[in-house]
Amino acid sequence: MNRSPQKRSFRPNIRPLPAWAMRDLLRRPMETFFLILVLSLIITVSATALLLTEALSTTAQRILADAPSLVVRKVGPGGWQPILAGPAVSSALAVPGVTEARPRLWGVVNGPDGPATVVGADSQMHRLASASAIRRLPEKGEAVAGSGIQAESDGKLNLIGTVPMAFTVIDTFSSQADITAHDIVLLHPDDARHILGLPQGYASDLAVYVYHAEEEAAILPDLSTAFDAPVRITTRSQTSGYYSAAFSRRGGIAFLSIGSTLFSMLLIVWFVTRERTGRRHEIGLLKSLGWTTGNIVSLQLYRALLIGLPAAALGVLISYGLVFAPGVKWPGYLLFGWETSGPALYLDPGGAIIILLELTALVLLPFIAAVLFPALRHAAAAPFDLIESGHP
Amino acid sequence: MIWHPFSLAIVMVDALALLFVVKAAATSVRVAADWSPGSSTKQQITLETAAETGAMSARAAFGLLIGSTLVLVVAVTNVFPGIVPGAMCGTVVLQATGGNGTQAFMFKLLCLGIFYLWYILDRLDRTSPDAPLARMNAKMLLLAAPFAILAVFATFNTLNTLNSLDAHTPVDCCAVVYDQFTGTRGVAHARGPSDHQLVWSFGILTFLLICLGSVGVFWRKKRSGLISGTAAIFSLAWGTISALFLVRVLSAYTYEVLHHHCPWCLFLPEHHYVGFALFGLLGLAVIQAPTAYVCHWAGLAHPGLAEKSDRLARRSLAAMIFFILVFTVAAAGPAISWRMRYGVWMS
Repeated sequence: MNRSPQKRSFRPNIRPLPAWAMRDLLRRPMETFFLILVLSLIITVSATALLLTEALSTTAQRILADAPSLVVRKVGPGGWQPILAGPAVSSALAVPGVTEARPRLWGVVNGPDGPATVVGADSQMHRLASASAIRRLPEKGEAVAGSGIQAESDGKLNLIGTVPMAFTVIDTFSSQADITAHDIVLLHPDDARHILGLPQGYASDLAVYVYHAEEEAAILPDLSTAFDAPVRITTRSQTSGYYSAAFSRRGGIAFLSIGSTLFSMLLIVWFVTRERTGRRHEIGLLKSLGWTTGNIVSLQLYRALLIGLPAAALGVLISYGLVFAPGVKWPGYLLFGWETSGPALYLDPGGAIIILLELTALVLLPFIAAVLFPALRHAAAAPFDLIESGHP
Repeated sequence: MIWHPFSLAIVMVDALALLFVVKAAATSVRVAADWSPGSSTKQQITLETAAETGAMSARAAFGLLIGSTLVLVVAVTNVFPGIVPGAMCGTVVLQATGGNGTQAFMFKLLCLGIFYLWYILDRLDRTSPDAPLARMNAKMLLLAAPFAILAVFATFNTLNTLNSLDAHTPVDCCAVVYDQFTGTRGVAHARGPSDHQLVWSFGILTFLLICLGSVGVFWRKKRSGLISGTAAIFSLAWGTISALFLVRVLSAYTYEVLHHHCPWCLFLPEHHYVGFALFGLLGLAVIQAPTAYVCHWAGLAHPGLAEKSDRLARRSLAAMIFFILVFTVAAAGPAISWRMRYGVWMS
């Protein structure tokens, strides 16, 4: 009977092998569910470690984008020394390419709960004040503290540098600035100089700015010979590289430390999938019904993808929530030992692609290979041998 | 020494690729030694099934090698500059590997080239039930296997070197690019052919290849061996000249800076990752003519496949023309746009 095209009912174009693979998985729903669950867990654990380190690295890069192009520190036989601010600024500005040179006051003192970084608030700090959502810069005897610095109940903060001093905390840095301002105490420049033991006219170091990032390395030889005393100069790209390397290596450590767990979980997955592909009599029956070796292997591949892709999506989604959801503490505590909520983190599209590539390479591909390898072996066997092996 | 997670990812993909290469090579040894087409013995039937799974392993290895090469390019251009001191692109990263990185890329590209030819011949072989090219394909896989092993070994050495680097030692990235020049005179005239010579060579070779390809696609098939063979030789020369032309002349319009002859900066996000597309097109254009020649050669060796191999050879030549044109438009696009905006060339 011929039907007109108008009356023909709609039939979705379903490719038979993926549909068969899906039906095969649904025949054992609990097994499929647990396989997806275990694989999701593996991906969640690895993705959390990788996402956290990548996000830290990206956040550090964003913060360093506002850092000075170069930092000049005077060095002597005993280590770094205070630099005479006025002549140092003149010497730096005499180098072609330098657009700005600013002396900075900072150093480490003893706080109530351990070391604290004291920073002298000069006139240029207004930008920091607005970025960190603090109302005003501190006057003499006042301080603005990071969230890691706990003042007394009466709002007093006792710090011990070259002399012990007490300050009134007038404000705290917002949690958004925690990654840089966690242990910072912002003081009036005179107070900072006093507690750090810096004589009048001296600074801790010199922040130097250039117009193009490419000039940072280019002016290094001129800048290093511009000062009377020996100096150590650090460029922004060096600092940025240092943080990037440090965070990524932490990621490596985290990944390796959980590697043994991952490996054992992967072994379970491999065992289960091998068990499934090891149902030799089924393969034998399919082959005797006319399925080719390629069909058998493709079926196993589709089964692996139907398990692996949803598990990967679920795992990445959970880990994204764990790293970026506000208020979640335990990944930071487990991986980095943070006792409070982590700082606000960022992830750029390039970083996200890198994480996805790493997860694909480290978890998804080994899983698919674990399915494919035994499938290749079994698919090559003769149908009769396969059927016989299933019925001893 | 703690490895970067991306290094672990590359090692994993390489290890999986190697696993499949070894499996495919093991089968290829048996096929190359014992294949007897037309025989109906149990040994031959078993070998045919093994050859089938061996080919599947080889395809998996090919896919994984493409993946690992791409991942290595991403690592060298976008991940490792973050951990190699002073590096802003892949130039210093490769310099820091002490030659291992360059070796890894060379072996990987060579391996991919052989695997691509194998893949085309395998497709051709599948069109005939008696698989006349099985032994030749097995030999080709055996040829690719050592390069795959060398590529994986060189990649491992590269990653090992990079992960052992001292992150505090300053290196000037652009100095490496500019080191090839001496004084301001040298900046305008880099070593090798001049910009004008490159433009003319690129133009002539592109024209020749399009002519040869068109003749191969539309003309008689009697001379197809000569045409595809000549095109294969010219396409290798075109690939070299095009890479030089892209880096030395056309990249200036992407960077909007003169004399920054760095191929790796094209892979950076600030240049919209154009390097992946441009060098990918370049590679695809270069491999098509050798593919056409290999198909022609397979057709000559096995007359039963002559018609199909001729069709495949013509398709490869057509693909070569297509990729050359797309590459030319994509690479020269920024230069033409610059000329239209400012009325001058950058030189």
